[in-house]
Amino acid sequence: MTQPDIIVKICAGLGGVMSGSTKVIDAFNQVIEARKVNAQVKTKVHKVGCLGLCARDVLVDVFMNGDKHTYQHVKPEMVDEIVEQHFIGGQPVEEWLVDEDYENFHKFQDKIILNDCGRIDPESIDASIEIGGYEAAKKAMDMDPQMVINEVKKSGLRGRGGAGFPAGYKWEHCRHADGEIKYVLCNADEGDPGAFMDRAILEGNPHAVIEGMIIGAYAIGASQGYVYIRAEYPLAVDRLRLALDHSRQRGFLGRNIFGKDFDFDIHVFLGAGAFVCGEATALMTSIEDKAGEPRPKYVHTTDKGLWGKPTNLNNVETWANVPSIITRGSDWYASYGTEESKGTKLFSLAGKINNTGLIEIPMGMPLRKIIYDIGGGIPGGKQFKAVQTGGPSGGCIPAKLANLPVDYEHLDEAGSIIGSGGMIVMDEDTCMVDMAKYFISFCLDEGCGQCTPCREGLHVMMRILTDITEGRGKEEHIQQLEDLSDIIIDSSLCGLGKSAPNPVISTLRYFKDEYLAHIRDKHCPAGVCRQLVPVSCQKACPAGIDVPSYVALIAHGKHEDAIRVIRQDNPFPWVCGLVCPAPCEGQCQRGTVDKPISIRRLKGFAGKYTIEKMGSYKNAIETRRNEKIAIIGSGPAGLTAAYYLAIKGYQITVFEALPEAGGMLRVGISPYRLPKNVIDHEIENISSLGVEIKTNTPLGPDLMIQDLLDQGYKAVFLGIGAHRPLKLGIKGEMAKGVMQGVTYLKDLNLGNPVPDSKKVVVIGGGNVAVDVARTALRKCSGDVTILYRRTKKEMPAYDEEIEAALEEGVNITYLAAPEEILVKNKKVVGLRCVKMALSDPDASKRRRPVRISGSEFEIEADLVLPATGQTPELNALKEIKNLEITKLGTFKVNPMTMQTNVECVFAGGDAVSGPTTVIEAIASGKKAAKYMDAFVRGVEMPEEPPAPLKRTHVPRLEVSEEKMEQLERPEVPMLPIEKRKTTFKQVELGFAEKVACDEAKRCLRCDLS
Amino acid sequence: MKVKSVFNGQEIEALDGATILEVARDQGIDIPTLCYLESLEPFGTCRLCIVEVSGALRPGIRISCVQTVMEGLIVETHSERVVKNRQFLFELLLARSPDSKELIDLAARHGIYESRFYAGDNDDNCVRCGRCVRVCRERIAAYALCFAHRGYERKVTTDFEVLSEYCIGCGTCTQVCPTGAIWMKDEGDERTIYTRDVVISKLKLEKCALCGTPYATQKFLDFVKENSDKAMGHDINRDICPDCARKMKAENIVGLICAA
Repeated sequence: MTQPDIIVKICAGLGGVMSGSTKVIDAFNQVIEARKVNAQVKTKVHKVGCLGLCARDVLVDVFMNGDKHTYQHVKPEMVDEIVEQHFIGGQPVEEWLVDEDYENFHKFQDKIILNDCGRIDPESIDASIEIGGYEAAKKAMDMDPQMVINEVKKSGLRGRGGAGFPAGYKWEHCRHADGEIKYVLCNADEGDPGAFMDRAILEGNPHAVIEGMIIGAYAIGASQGYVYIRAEYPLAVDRLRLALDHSRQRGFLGRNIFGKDFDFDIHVFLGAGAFVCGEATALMTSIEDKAGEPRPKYVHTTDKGLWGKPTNLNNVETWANVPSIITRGSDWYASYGTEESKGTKLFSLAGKINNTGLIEIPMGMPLRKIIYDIGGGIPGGKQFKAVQTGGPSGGCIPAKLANLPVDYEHLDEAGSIIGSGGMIVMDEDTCMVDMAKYFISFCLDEGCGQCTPCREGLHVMMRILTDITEGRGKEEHIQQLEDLSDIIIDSSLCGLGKSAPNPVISTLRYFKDEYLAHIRDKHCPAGVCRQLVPVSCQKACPAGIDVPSYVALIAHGKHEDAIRVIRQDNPFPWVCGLVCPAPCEGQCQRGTVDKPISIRRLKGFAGKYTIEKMGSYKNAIETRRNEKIAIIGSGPAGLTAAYYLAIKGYQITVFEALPEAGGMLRVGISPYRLPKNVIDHEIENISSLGVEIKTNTPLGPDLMIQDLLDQGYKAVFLGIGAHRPLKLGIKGEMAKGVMQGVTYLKDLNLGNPVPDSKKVVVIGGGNVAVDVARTALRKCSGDVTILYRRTKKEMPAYDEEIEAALEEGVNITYLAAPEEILVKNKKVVGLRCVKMALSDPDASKRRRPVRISGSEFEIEADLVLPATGQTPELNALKEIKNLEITKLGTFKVNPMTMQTNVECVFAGGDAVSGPTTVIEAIASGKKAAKYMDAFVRGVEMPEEPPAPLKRTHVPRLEVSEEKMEQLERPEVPMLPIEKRKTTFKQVELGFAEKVACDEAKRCLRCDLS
Repeated sequence: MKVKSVFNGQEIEALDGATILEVARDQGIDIPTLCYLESLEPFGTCRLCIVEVSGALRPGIRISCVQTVMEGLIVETHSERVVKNRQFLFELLLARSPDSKELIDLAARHGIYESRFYAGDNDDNCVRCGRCVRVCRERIAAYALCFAHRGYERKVTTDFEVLSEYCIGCGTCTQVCPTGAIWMKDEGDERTIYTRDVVISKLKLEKCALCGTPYATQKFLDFVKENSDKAMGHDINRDICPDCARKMKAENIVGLICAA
């Protein structure tokens, strides 16, 4: 037979077959036939076993003119071009060849077992014999059985099934055991999730396993053998059966093998898919046609195993190593690996790794090399976190131990095992608690259920882990898990139970902080445990309030608990319940069904309910500290910072320039939206913590930051707000009758007199403008008009506010801008305006207003209230040199920590962001408090969690589907319109308790599902 | 042959081949068991009988119902490690079977009065010791009972979980159950056997030839006949209930005495 000129080897391992290699093989045969390639050059297409890098299947090796080229991801439609260009034209199709890193995948491996796997046709015994198959068996049979055993002993071969017991010693024990009849068994019940070494060997080179068993049987004196293989490996079963038939035909199995007085045959026994049958005694009871359950006897199976006879059980890989040891000698084999762990080991690399596939490496290779050099690292540039070795019986090895040599001893030391060779790589997106839970649930399902510790203990562990991952975790759970692990390992019947807690033990050892995050913070750092990951409403909230939990608590009627949850992120529930723009509602999933949950009003309800029922919220100070901290400004940002610092135990003094505390809450929002008593109540709840609020104490010569620091204040928070109105910059602005909108509101709120008017014009489109207009409507006898440069769609004020203003009778003139304030006798008489048009959207997608020349018009006015924005009042801060200010005139801070460039000075609220919402101010105050605490204590700045924290776990309240559908978002009762126009009474009257509870029941609880 | 071993610090001589449990009980050492029954092959699954061994064996935990004594063996039946393990095992069993009086009593005898664990709502009195299944197989050879399912779902039932056609209605299973999880009720001429509250067997009771009270199933009477034939060469059945048999025996004795 002449050697063909071109040899094509196509992966026909399971990975290849699943990727369509059968069709690729057919395509090659067809195209070669059709193009008459064989007439020009002799071509032979082989199917071979696993080529290793399953992630690139179908892999095709082409050997031609002494060169080897490998194609990846081959599909039948590519075959034509490969044959045309490569086989006939002599030019490989470059673009389909494997990438450079394919070389790396193989370069660092040492292949003893896999050497022939992928080289030979697994369905041909001739192919096996051609490369020396069965020579070892022949050689062994010319040796004394004890010599064979000695050779295996000397090689240092240890059981590859997991326990790592020296194979030669096991053989010897079995050889010397009493009994005429003995058995050799091969464990091919490969059940670890993510493991496929044994399958690949049986699919790629089944004769190596058969030969190994023949040698073992000869050495031990066994006449019967079994391969216990799982029925879920049909391809491996078929190839094994075929190989056994071929082997029998050639006389390698049967009577008088190699003409010696030695009879031996091998039977195939299909496992029914029970993981526990991989355990030695369970495997044997299973072959005995009994339920596959481990036996409790303290007898070695080498003395009494299958049917009570001496039995030697080894795993597929162990057997496959034997022929090479006999052929090439124990010294050669022992030259691979480390002192205690000899030879090579197969691993199936799976999980979050670029090169998923089968590898064979010498024992002792550092983990890093496996992951990065062979495995090609982690996909998507993610961080390598840990690797689980040994399947459910093993443990995890964290990234920090990446230099660990992979051998029996080092893995054991690190709390894991080599096991059968599964290697599941995990990246930063893997939750280690969830991972441990997965493996416990696996063993719980797969255990036989005979013995108490494994059956009941794993069940309880599973319950605890479920509690932890679903937000019901308690601190004592950690100790319980540790104790349960100990006793399950100590007192279980078989190896399954004795190793089942390993994933929990190793994750507790290396990732305890992750458990604690789940338990204490109700937070899953990897974002895996759905109930501990914030849902859309919580993510939408600038302060990250745990919305679903407090809504659920309101549904349960536990309104005070709801307040406790809210106040962990926002000390102003009632205020925000009245004035928050509620971005949460915009993201509410119920909104995609009908209408969003009325989250804002529920919060307001809970605040009002608690204050009215209890008189105040419950505050708890965690510790007492002596350090003093100064807060400048008593707006929402300053008071929030004060609140969270006070809870931490600091001595807080708040300095307020105005006669009353509250900042913009007090002076920037009209009382019909935010009544004074609401502000009073919530501030009272903060000052009751011992926070001193000094009003009428503005920054200036009498109050300097430097003085505060000299007085022993350890840090200062600047929450001075943005109170300085921006000028319009047009003629006539200084005339009588022109008054800044914010000043108008401030005067009114502080009880100062404000001018009456017949004709009010408010300039601007923000919330302040609308508030000013609605306030003027109530205060003045005349009509009120808002002048806005753009259209209603672009107005930054909340829709609700605009609608309320229109309803109350405020006029809005859109697309108009003032050009001059008309003045007569130093008094305003009107405005000269110009019409505007919107430009096409610019780069920032904003449509700029453009002046329409010649469209000037005049309107009458005796009171003009510009409300076009404010900026912080910085004059008083000139004393602190170097304090960095942005171009917009706000404080420059590190957005992570709210710290200014002056170390002990932090800032937040409108003074940093420019005028914005209350909830934004609260969020910044809360953040500043956290970092000020770290700064004062001199500890490392804590890392901000990537997502807001879940504060508690609230079980689902069962609501019938029918009711769920019936419930509708309720309208909030409003003050009658005629009263609204003339009084400053609160317009929104809030929900009654029943309405609130029902509304809360509408929540879909996205956080639970 | 006798071997010397040390139990809790005391040297003890015992027959080679005896289990640690047998020797300990001879010595009056209280080791709790659930699955162990003298008349059955050791099963070794409840794990309550664990002891710590060293000396002649590799140090570690062993179950005393299976491990035999040997020369130079050192046994600790109540070491700190054993007691802790046993406590957890009791607590785990109590979590699963919180209402089993027998289990509560046994645990209390060993100082455990409550469980810190909660197993869920699917609790029952069965501790999965398998005494019923084993006695049905090993002693009666009826093979009416079996374990079904794996892991935590494991339970005692009949083949395919339907009324057993193999059950002879002897009731031995209900006699050996340590927790009363398997039980029977005779009502009229019918015997019903339950595991938990599931009926696994329903059989008609034959009437006593003397008093007419229903007392045993036909299958059981056949079983007695077959075995007595085997053992004694004749059928000992006289189709009379135990009460009547006792009365008859007594009358016979009285007759003998009177005659004398």
